[in-house]
Amino acid sequence: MGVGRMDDREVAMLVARVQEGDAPSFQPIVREFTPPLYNLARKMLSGSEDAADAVQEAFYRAYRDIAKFDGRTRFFSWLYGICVNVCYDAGKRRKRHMEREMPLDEGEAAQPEGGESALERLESRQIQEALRSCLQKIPAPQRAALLLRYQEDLSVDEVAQVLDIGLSAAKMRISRGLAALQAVCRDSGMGGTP
Amino acid sequence: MKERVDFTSDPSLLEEALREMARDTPPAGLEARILEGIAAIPVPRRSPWSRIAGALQTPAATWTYRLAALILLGAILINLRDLVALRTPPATPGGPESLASLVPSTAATCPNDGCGFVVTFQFRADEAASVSVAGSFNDWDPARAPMVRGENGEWRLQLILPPGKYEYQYVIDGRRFVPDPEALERQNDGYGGENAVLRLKRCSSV
Repeated sequence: MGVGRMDDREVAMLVARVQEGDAPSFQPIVREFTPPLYNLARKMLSGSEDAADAVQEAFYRAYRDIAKFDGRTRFFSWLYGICVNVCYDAGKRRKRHMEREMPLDEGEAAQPEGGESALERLESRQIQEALRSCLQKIPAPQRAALLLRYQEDLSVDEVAQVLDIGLSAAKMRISRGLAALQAVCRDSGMGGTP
Repeated sequence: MKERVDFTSDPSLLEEALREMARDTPPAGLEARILEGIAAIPVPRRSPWSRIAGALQTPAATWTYRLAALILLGAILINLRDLVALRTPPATPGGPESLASLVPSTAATCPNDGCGFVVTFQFRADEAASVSVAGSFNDWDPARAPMVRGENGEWRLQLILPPGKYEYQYVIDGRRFVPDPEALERQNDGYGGENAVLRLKRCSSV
């Protein structure tokens, strides 16, 4: 699993220090996990501001409750779990306020690398936008499972840990998520990928 | 240009599309915003109990490690028991050779920006090799308040104590607990004996 540059031991050491009251040790943790958490939140929620707020809230909750982290799971699993829950809450709040789709923020998403032609890039971007839009239409728990499994490259076991569900439930959620996403894509008229 | 394929008909292609979705990068300043917000949150601390419980529950903990943690826990419990024993000193008070006086003084300095009392403990025990004061102000630990022998077998110690109600006894030769015979107030220690009681009322101007 390639969350960041630090290995588990370094992270565990920093977490232990924070638990001892050494607040500055939380800074490298924030630096390490902000990019993956933001990527997850940005795809869980549809607006970049919502995603930034969610990441911020996730770190606040993690810091406030870090004494409760007992080391039985890897730290990133615990942190991702918090972030997913924050995204669930934010999604519910947002749904209450607006039922419309937010447009993708221009120029925010990184472009895929490679020597593609302008047409290919345009097509690739269109597909990605369409896929993002379809992701927003499947249930949030399934969306979280798919993003953790495929975007964050977690094992099914790790997905189960993050979502605090059993292994078979995680497998089921991923499988159903894929089926749901496939159906939404089909209904949206998506049929191509590079 | 690559061939267009219908990934909606093949889940493995959909999986690949999900993997290849561009990663979103956090906006500039997000980390700083987070760290700034965290600075306002009280520093978290893990309680000793949760540390012990966590150590026992960690999958990485070997049986040796768990055993060591249990032994440590046992030692702590035994210590606590000893502490309780100290808090309940022997019921038999000291003999008639004891002569003590307690002089609470409000004319002293107020330490720690608050009102405090310099309390002088005096106790006569001619034949004693050591005398200490053990009380609720020092967790009934005689080692923390040894008295100094003066002339004529009089032992003396000054302590600065904040206002409050305290119970105490003198400890002769580290084993004999004697309530202050000159104390204005005494209280049953719950074990058939008595503790001397010292009340230091809050002073307003010292």
